[in-house]
Amino acid sequence: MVNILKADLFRIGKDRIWIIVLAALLIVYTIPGLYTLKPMGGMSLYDQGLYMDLNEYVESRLPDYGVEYAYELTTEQYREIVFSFEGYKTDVDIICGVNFPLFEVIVVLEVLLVTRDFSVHSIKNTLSSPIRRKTYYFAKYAAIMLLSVSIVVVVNLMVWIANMIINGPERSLPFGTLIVITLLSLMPLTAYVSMIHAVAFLIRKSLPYSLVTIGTTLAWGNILLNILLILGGGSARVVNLIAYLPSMMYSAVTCTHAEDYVPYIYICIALCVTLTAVSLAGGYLFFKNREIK
Amino acid sequence: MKETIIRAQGLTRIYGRHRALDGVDITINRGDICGLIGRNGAGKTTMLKIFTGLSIPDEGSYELFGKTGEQERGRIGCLIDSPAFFGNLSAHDNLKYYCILKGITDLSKIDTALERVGLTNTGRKKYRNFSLGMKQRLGIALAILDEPELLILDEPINGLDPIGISDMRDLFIKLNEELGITIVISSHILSELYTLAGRFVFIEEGRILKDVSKEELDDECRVSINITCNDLSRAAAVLEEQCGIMDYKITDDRTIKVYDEVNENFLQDRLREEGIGVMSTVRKGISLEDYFKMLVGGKANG
Repeated sequence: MVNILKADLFRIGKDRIWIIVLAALLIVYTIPGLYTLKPMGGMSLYDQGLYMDLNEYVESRLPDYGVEYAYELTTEQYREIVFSFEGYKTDVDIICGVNFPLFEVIVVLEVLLVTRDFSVHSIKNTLSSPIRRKTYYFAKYAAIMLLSVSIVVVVNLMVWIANMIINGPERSLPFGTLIVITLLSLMPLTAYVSMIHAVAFLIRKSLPYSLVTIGTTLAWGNILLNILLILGGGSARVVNLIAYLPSMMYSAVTCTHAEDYVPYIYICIALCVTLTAVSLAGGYLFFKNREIK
Repeated sequence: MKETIIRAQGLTRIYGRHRALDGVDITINRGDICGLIGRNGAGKTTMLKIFTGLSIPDEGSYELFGKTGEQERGRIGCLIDSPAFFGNLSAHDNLKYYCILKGITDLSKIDTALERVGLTNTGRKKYRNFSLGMKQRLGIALAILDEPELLILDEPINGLDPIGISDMRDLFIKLNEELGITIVISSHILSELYTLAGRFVFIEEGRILKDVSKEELDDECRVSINITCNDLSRAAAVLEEQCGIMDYKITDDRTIKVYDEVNENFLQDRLREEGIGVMSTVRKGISLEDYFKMLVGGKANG
């Protein structure tokens, strides 16, 4: 298993274009992400979820600035209002919001390490050497998990440091909280990697795999989520479980000590464990006796 | 008695309704060069894929080096179908990747393998820019990288030029004779297979039609030199006394068939030196291709 990891790292090291793509994605997810936060005057995709009552707070402060709508505020006025919101941290929104889109980067890793092996048929060489299918399946999983965890840790750290420099320590999470949030977010990450790893062994070709996984991730955010919310009748349980991603719940619990979220976190963890087990076992059983072309 | 390297019994592989392999029994002994002959879709690649772990049989079983399971697969080197490598890596880096993967620490084996297949001068050239022949050579280099005990080659000379074919033939013979590597090889180029293999397995529609040694095949094809001359009794005496030939047959009043492997010109010269009038010497007999056609019934290639 260690040999597969070493060989994959050697191969990725030779793949400069993909390293540049990954590095660019990591940078895009951090510094520009911070500058597009609403308090910075931008239109961020990320700052949602944890401070759900922030908009209400801004609305309540509008009369102080003699305006009727929030868009009439200047950037400086907006920053002044949100920064006066008790305990407002600018990095936690990015950290909890970035995890879901960041998962799409993991698809790139799966393409690099697994589906490419199927696409160029180099898997024949690997499996006809003494590499067992079980070893191959789980070594690739371990390699992708290792790289994914590294990416999440690096992004979270980069956001934290960048935010510390841009917005100051008073708007940054304590380092201990950052570690707790990062560790907790590894749970959905593991479930997600397990799922897309199993799907990689089902689809096996890079292009259709990328289209299906990235497409599903996007569709989940934009279409499926709304359908599930409608089907769930807008109940608080469904909203909390689906609309607010697990990492946001973790953030809410660790940052605001909101006990309301604790039961949902248990459900999330149970779901993640089940998904991980089912995906890994299903993917391996499918691959175990499959003909290699 | 030779050690059995591969022993398969009742190997069956079914794709949908098609039985690609249908109860195949085969034994390969150490030191053999076994040629698999069959048309496209006959089941050659399927059988080789099973031995290399790329396909799982639906029925039947097989042993590698006297053991079941995958533990002995490390003693095999193979090239199945077309070679497959990473396009963005050079020949050296592609082999290095597999060295790391297989835990081969002696990286000088890369240069040895590349030298054996004549790919030492490719430098940093990426695999995607290789010609078909170069790709094929790299595939063979990977197969022999770790000096395996058994080499499984599925149409390894496809895409090679005549010199490349000759080089690879010499390489396979050298690996077999000097390193004692057992070789199982399939090819559509029957004449090439004939010069290389010592044993031939004919496959058709997933079944083994015939499994013969080269001697048996020669005997069945009965290749002979047909000499037409004016004095058969004296010619027979010359063949026996001066050329040491005992395996011959006088077929009519002017023709004598020599079955021993001997140079035609040598025979002609000896007979003429004794004043025998030689009208013609013709090598005759059924070719491997004709023999194969005869076995499979001469059906159109699928």
